[in-house]
Amino acid sequence: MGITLLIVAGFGIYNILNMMIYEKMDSIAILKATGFSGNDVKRIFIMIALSIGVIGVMFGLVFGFLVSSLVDQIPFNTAALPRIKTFPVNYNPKFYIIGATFGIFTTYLAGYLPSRKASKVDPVVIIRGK
Amino acid sequence: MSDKVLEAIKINKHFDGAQVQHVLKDVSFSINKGDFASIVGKSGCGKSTLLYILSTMDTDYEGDLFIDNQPMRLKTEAELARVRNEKIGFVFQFHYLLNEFSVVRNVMIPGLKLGKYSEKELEDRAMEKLKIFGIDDQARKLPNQLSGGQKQRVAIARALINDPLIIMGDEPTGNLDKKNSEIVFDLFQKLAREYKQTLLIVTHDMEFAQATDHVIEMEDGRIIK
Repeated sequence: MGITLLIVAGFGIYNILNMMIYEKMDSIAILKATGFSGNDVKRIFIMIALSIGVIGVMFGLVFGFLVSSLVDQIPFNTAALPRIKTFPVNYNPKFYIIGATFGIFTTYLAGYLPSRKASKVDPVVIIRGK
Repeated sequence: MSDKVLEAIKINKHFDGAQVQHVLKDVSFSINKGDFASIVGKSGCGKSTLLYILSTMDTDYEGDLFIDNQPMRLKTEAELARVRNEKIGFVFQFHYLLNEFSVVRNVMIPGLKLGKYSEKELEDRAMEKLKIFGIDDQARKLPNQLSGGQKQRVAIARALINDPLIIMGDEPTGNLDKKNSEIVFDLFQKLAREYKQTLLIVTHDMEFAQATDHVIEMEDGRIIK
């Protein structure tokens, strides 16, 4: 379940970045013309992907925590476990760390391919095409 | 020899297609420090192609290119980027300013990449350049709030930020009306005369070219004068 969500979100970010590169073709061309190398351009787009990832992970963890503490309030009675009165929730920080790591890793992967494409933009083609 | 800023030796270029086109034929010339040079010719004669080779952005050619007496032939992409950053300032037909950043920030970008000055110093330098062009009052605006002529002046200021060895222009007045073309042309004159800036401008405007000190005329891939 979690993996599927990560893949879907990853494709979303991949698409956003791909579109962004088409939109920002001129900017990429001028950066290259004024002395930014392919690697610099790649770094910029990976940074964008990672900042989407980091912000997304932070929101995700906070909302996840809030929702799970709400779920924690739901009454839950079962004869098998007489001591449990509400829905059992595991707050182990391990799960939060795993979630954050995978989230950031996915966005990095999703950003890597588009940023490679951006780094290969040929400024001459763009600038002469005007 | 030592004051040669740029030297091209027998540059040849072919465009591969269904038919191979020979677009530049044994082009050799040099630009000295302080020259205000122009390349003229009809459209399709190869002048822009030549400029993009000289600018190090196009590396698919035969022949030798020296900038600041250094051969460009075998440099890697990252080394060429460094050369462009440090030694060449560009002005294109279209201004290519980044609309996300303020005018002064746009001027600073190549300088931030070079990393020779602190951000504060760079901002002062950028403001100084904008002042030369009489647009320092627009510094905090975004580029899309400026007129076409103003944008082109910002683009020239950006080309100057790293005190380049040479400024290259590809039809820098091509997109402007008569009045703004004159303003931009006067700015190039001022840079050449007062600041001893080396300039190489590609244009099809004969009037513009006549006013420069060194006219390189091209026809059909060759230099004819």
